[in-house]
Amino acid sequence: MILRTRLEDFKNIGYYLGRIMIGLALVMLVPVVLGLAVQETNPALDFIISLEITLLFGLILMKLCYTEKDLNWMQGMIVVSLSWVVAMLLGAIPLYLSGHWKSYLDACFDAMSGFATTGLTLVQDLDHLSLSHNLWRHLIMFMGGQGIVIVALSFFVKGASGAFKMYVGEARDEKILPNVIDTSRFIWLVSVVYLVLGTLALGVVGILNGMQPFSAFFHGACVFMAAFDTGGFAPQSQNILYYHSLAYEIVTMVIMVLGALNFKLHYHIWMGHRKEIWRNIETRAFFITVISTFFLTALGLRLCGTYPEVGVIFRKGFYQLISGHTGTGFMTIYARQFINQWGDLALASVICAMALGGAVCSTTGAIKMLRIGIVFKAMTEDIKRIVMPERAMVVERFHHIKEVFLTDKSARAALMITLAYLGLYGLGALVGTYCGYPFLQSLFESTSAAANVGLSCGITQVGMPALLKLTYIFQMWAGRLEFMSIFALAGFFVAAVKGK
Amino acid sequence: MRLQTPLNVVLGITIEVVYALAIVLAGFFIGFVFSLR
Amino acid sequence: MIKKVQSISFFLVSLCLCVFVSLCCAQPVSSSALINNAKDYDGKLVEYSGEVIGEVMVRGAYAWANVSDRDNALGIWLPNDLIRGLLYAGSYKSRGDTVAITGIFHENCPEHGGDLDIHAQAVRKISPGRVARERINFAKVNQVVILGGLCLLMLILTLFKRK
Repeated sequence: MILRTRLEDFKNIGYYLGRIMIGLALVMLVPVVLGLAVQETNPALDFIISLEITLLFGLILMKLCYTEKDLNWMQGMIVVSLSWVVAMLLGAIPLYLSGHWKSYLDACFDAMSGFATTGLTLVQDLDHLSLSHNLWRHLIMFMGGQGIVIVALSFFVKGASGAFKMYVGEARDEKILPNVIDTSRFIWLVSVVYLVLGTLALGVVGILNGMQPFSAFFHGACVFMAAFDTGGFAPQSQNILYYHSLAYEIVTMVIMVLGALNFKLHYHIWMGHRKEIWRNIETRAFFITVISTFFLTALGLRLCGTYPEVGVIFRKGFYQLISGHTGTGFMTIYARQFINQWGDLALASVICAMALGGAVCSTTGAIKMLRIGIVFKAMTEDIKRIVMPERAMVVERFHHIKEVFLTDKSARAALMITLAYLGLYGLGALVGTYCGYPFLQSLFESTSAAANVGLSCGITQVGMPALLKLTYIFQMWAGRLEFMSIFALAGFFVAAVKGK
Repeated sequence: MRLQTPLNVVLGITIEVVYALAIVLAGFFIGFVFSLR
Repeated sequence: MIKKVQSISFFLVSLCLCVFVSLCCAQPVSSSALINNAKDYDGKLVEYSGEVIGEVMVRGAYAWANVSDRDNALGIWLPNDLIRGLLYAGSYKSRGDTVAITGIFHENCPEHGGDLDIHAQAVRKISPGRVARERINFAKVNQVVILGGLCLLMLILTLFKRK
């Protein structure tokens, strides 16, 4: 029996949504300050307008829906799923006001792409975009990678139990520290420490590559945020190809892999349990899947005669592969080159890599390594059960921070989410095919959107049908939130209509 | 939240970077193998 | 009569020379054509024109300049003596120099890790760049003021009710 939604539910949801909007408005101050500092007046005005609109909506919601109650599970999940839609709609306002996006839908596409750390883009004339707008594009990736709700949790939310429900709803179900607010703050600590180190590294490399100091560090900060949050936006239209630099590519590869690590792993390693780096099921699985998918990719490229030299196959073949596998989406080739040069086997291998992703509770998307490891272990266990004598007890274990026994429940949960992702990849591929694109290319782009990767083979562009834009927006949203919050939202609507 | 010792943090960052570089090197090695033929 | 024949033959010879020269010289190509038909242009002399964007990155005796023709930007590898005339690069605050580059196109340049690039042999400035002076959008200023007023109102209402 579905219980009908009550006014209390709407009030709770509205109130917390309002708080998150206030948080978002405060973050918009950053590009305002930059705009005023570098005398970009119109961009600063764009952000002030957006800030005011966001603040207004937030204040209205908080006033109308004022409540002192804490959130229950359903409400928490719905706050999360709706916050992402709201963040997209509000985050798109400054982008649209800049005039660099052909329509508000395109701006929403980029906003969702930013928050969901995807990286597919519909921006026009990126090379003439203001520094403030460019910073905003990367800042939303930084926020989205951490989790919009986590941003709010770190600073604004008082009640801890409601906070935990939202934390789980945002696909962060690994409790790192006993208190979820401390967990959020730790995630921020890791990100900020790496932000400083990464910006420094990229800035220095930039200067050695002939860039001016200010732009070297500005690009460094932006590229770091996109790399660590495995997003994939870059300040220029050529993406990472703009820099024409092996050193830049190597540094970004390292940052991408760091961003694909579980934050819980960062915690334990930083606490001194350094052996975890090679004992953990996720780091092992990731190493194996990167090697395997690159092996297939390299084979596919070789069969086509593409990239015969080692330096080229590394800087073009491996770079795109690691970018796809970590869910970043940085590119050092032009989108059409995937179609013109890579061949079907190499393309299919990259699709597999994108579909797998990085660790759970990292900034990556896709199925993720813990689930891949669990599914693999579950299959091993079943095979052993058949092969071994009937009376033998077969129990599989794996190491994830501590020794964990594989249970049917965890295997089932892993398989369900894996299937959901595969279904999502397929759905987008079908819509792409319906819109007239070849199947493999549609599957590539669909996987890129749903797994929040951002590699493009050329389908994502301004002339793309609106249906496909909306499909990818949905996929980016659903993929980032790992379905549960989306199902909760759908369930809420059903309850509102059918409940007793 | 108890503060981790700075040494642990530095060593932790180092070992994570080493892991990332190991993956990068493995990629280079596979590329090298395929470029030989 | 002889003069007429002479002038006609002079005209014909000049015409043939022009055709011959234009066939030898590079034909201007767009970035999309270069990227989509990279195999056909690989290793050939091409002419490509567009606006210099970002910044010119000097690396020893050579430099990288990324040149955009609005559809895409391509990387141009030039010796330092060719970058002397390049003063402006496109960004929010400036329009870059518009240049015509003549050089060898590479689909996967072996010297530069497989980058799609052009090794420039000649650079001709078509039009100089300039600083783009920003004109403040006063409609936006009005919006800021109106919305600011509304926000202040909401803030006061929120604080007032709480008391």
